[in-house]
Amino acid sequence: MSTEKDRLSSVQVMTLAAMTIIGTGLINLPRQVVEAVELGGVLLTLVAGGTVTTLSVVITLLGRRFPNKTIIEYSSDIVGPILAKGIHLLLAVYFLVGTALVLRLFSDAMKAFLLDNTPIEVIMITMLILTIYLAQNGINAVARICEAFFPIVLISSSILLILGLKNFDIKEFYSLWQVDLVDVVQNISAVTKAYLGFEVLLFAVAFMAKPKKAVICGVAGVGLTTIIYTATVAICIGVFSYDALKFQMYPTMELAKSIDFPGAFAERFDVFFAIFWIVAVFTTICVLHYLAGFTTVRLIGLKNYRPFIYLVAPIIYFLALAPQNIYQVKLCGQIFSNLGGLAVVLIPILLFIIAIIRKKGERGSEEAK
Amino acid sequence: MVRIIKKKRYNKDKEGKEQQEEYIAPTFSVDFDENFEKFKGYLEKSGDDVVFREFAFATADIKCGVIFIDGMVSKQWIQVNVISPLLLGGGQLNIDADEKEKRYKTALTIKRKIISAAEVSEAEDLDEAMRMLISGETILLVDGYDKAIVIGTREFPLRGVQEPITDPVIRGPRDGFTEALRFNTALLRRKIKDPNLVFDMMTLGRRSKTDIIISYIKGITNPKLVEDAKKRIEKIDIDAILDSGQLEQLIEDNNISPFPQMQNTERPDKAASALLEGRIVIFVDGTPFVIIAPASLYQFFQSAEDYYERWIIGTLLRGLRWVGSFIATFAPALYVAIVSYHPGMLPTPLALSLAASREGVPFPAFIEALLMETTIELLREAGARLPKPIGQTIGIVGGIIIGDAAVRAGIASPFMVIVVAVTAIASFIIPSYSLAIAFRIIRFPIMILAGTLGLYGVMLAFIIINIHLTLLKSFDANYMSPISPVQVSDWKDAFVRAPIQWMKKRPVYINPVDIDRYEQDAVKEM
Amino acid sequence: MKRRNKVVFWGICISIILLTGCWDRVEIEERGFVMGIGIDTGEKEGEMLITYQIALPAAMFGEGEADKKVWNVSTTSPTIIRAKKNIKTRVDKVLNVEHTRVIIISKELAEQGIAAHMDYFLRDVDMRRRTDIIISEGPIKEIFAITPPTARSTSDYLADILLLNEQHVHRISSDVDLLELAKNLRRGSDFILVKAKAGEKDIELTGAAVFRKDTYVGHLSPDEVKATKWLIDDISRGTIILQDVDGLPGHMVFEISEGRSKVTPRIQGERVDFDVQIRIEGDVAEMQHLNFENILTQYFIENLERAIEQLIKRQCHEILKKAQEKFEADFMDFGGLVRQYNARWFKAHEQQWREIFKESELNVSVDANIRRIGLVQ
Repeated sequence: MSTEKDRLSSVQVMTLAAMTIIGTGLINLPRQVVEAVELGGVLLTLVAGGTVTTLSVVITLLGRRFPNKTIIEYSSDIVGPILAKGIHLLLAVYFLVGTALVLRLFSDAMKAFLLDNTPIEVIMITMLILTIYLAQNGINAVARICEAFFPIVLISSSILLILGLKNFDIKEFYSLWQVDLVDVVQNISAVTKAYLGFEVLLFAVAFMAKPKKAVICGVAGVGLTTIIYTATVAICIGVFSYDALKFQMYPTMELAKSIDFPGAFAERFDVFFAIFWIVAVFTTICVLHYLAGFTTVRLIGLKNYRPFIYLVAPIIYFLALAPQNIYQVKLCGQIFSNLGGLAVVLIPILLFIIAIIRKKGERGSEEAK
Repeated sequence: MVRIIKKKRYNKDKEGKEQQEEYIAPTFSVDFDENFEKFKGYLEKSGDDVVFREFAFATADIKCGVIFIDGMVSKQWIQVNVISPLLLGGGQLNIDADEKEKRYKTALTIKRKIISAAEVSEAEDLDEAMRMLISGETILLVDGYDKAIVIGTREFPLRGVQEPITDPVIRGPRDGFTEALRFNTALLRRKIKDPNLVFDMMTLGRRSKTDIIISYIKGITNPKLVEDAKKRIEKIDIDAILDSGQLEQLIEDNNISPFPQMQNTERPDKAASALLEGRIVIFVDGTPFVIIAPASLYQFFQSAEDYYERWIIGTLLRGLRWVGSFIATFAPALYVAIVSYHPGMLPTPLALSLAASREGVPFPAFIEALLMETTIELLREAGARLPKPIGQTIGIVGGIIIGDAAVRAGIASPFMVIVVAVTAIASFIIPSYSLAIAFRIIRFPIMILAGTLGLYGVMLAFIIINIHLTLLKSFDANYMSPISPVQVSDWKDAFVRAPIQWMKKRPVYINPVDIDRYEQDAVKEM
Repeated sequence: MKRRNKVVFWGICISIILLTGCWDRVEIEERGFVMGIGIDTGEKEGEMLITYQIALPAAMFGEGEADKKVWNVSTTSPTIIRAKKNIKTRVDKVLNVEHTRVIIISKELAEQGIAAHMDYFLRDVDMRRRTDIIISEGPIKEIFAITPPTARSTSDYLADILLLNEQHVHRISSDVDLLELAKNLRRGSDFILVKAKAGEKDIELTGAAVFRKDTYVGHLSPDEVKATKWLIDDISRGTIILQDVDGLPGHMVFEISEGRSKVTPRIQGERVDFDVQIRIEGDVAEMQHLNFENILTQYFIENLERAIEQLIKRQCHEILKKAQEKFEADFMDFGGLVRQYNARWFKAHEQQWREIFKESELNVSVDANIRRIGLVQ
């Protein structure tokens, strides 16, 4: 399917997973969490992260049973070609909607923070041109970019969080023991959408040089994201207190806004953070764009995904322009996360169970663990 | 359409090759006069510098003749070692044979016993002899002998070994490559006295017949790399190669990229260290610059001196160079973006004083930056092309007077002058001139992006550059190598310069056959 | 060949975007940097008098007239954003609030509630979160009319007093910036803001303004501010003046070098009491009875410490009483503390909190330490 050179290294798969997840979630997750459960925000983020980590284990184990095969190929092995076509369709729609949604959320935030009067179309088109440029070179190129940009995202968010500690009030966590655990567990699904993006593992495992390490890579990628997310939520709660946090559109940006640079050599840390955040979102959009092209081309039954990277771009663009206001965007987010729940949570689990029952795939690789 | 052109070209090539195969070079006859005339016929039109000297071998009274090109051979040496022994008839000739046989044997004897040259060979046909002649050998024709005797007499005007101009060091060897291929290989041999050091000679250029040497160390360098390089060079069909720069452009992976995909150096020590890392070094006759391949971005930030001084200063200087390259690429763009789009990012006093200083400047920051950057590029080019003393004057006139006058005239703000000056200085800090050029070029598109989309544009530019660099390859090695794909063991020599004891492995991304720099036992002893 | 087509394609794409660009470009000299915003009551009901203080950079850096460093533009309007648009019709610059350092609200307006007027500042992305909110005693115009020689503008002047001297002077109430204010407004809690009063040639920061929810309810004198600061863990390098310690005449001044207070709520059913632990360290800074006797003995120092402790205790109780009875406002944010320590309880009692707060009592323990006595014994 591909030569040894195009294989993904373990670090690449890890960063690919992490960079796909870290995207728009980074700037609005704290609000979503606090909207869902007030007190246990940190706990909820952690628990949701744990859930997604478990899911990633399922996905990677599933991928490992079918070496060199993505979900597109092994789904028809497991449930037969007709049902598999349905899954393909679902995945293609999911990735198209996902790319469009992230693009829209990103453009809205960019317009709010950096380019007030620039038409949103320009922001979208420039971003799409960049993703086309990268995505047409295949998953290997995308993974290498993720690898190169991962430290930038990690360092910039760490700096933000460390500087944010100055206004941090530990007393906000004194009541943590009163958290209603049932409430937390019930709201996991509300936060899981911030972790959507881990489904890249459904595809990445097939391209790995050492598929045996897939599980560790997946867990490490999702785990790192969980750590970053949890730290962000914790510091946002500590700085704003959860009842003020609920009112903020982009709490992490607000956190950046509230930061005083030591020595006052620069102001408006939110702009600084926003430009580094562009990198995080770029990788997310790019991976989703690639997967949208990849799934669409397989749905039609062709092999070469390159022209489809170009072809899906206008679809993504118009989908992203479709919502008229911020509430419709929110609604789309809801649709997307429901779709995600079906396409990348439920179906892989079912596939995994069926695969075990029907004894499809290589059992050998399972035992070689 | 494109395909058709390609095909046509391909056919042409094929035909050309076929023709060459059919072509049979004229051979020599036994008759001296005939042979001599053949040479004359070819060379008479080409000028005065071809010398034909006809004489008789004293001992046996056989017609002889030497042909050489004046200026490319040592005339005196020929006179002493070739012509005078023949004229004076040194050596005894006791040959019992008929006339024909005798002459043939005489010729062999001349070759074996009389000519006291270190290098003597034979040319079978006229073409071969011609090639030798043009490269500075002397042809000796003897009556009755159907081959041309070729005597190694190359000696042409040369620059001696001098200190290299492009990679100066404060501490470190001061010898530099010269225009002569043999000198250069000798300089390298002197650094690496290893029999495994291989010099593979090739000739390139239909007309220039330039000698090219691919050198590598057997047992370290990956043979695939050598093969790839050879293949690429063999594919080239060109009339002349005058400098390694031309060769570099013909064999590079991506000819649209502004970034250099091979390193060039004048320094034998740099070439030697590249060989020891498992790279190949390509010599081109007639230029002091050798090509080092494959290259990765970080290599262009290395200077030979990093390794000769202690590691702390090497590490700090590397950091400085990365910062310098960032400034050289992004500073004007950031200035434009912040001044025109995000003044809120500046501290309040600075924002106000910037606003005060720009009051009265008639242009937008973008035009101002473009104007000043163009001016400094003009100055730099003017300074580089003029003789050295005048060049310096231009620098001073341009830098100080124009900068000051521009501020006074209200065309630019003092901050812009500072930004431009810092940018220019920062671009000088990069040791590799080719990379500095790349940064100078991409600075302008980034400025345009900053002028239209502010910091978002700058970030877009940053992402584009990164994508481009990540996709770029140099002889199948990734250009962004230790960063992506991550190769932690290579980091020791990329962003920092770790103590030499730590750098036990050769760069992994080149795929050397022998990865360990030291023998394992030696490491343990250390 | 294929590559050339690609380059042409990208070139066209990018140039189309770039050639139509520059939507947001505003050169820095075309911007009018708003240094401060003043909000006052208007003449008509429901209208506000809004003043923008716009910087004149050339004058600030020596080229223009030195006494005209700023330009105050006022307009009346029912909303803030409307006022901004009004001002834009009269100013030849693009207003920029990214460097706004203070928002000054007049007392009269604050008495009607400030939450409605703050929304714009929180919604606007350009506003900094570090902008200080100050309540003015008199009309805003008086405040903005004063630009002292040391500062670039009134706004810089006020913000710098707060930034540089708040740490050293105990009676300046600590600065409340937009971030802090937003938290209080959204939570619906009570708070205090710095208060300023225009003098002849300068502006004095006098005490603090007490807010119940978002409405101005009263004034705290500098001494009361000092007392409040004991209770909100915000102890500056202020001074404590004691009189007649140990029978000695004149004032004794104790300067705090380090201090920390910890308030812990003690919830007992429907009642909350507060344990306050205050630890301060400091030096003897000034003694007015100069009799050149070696009086700073262990015994004397202990007495002095006890006196300080007594004084602080008294102040704490007094200020709590005032908060409970006079202002009926929990401006020390004890409610927030209770919420932090026991969220579930506070959620259940949020509506009755003001009644519960009125019944609360303090249990203050102070530990004062004199570390140094300066260069004179």
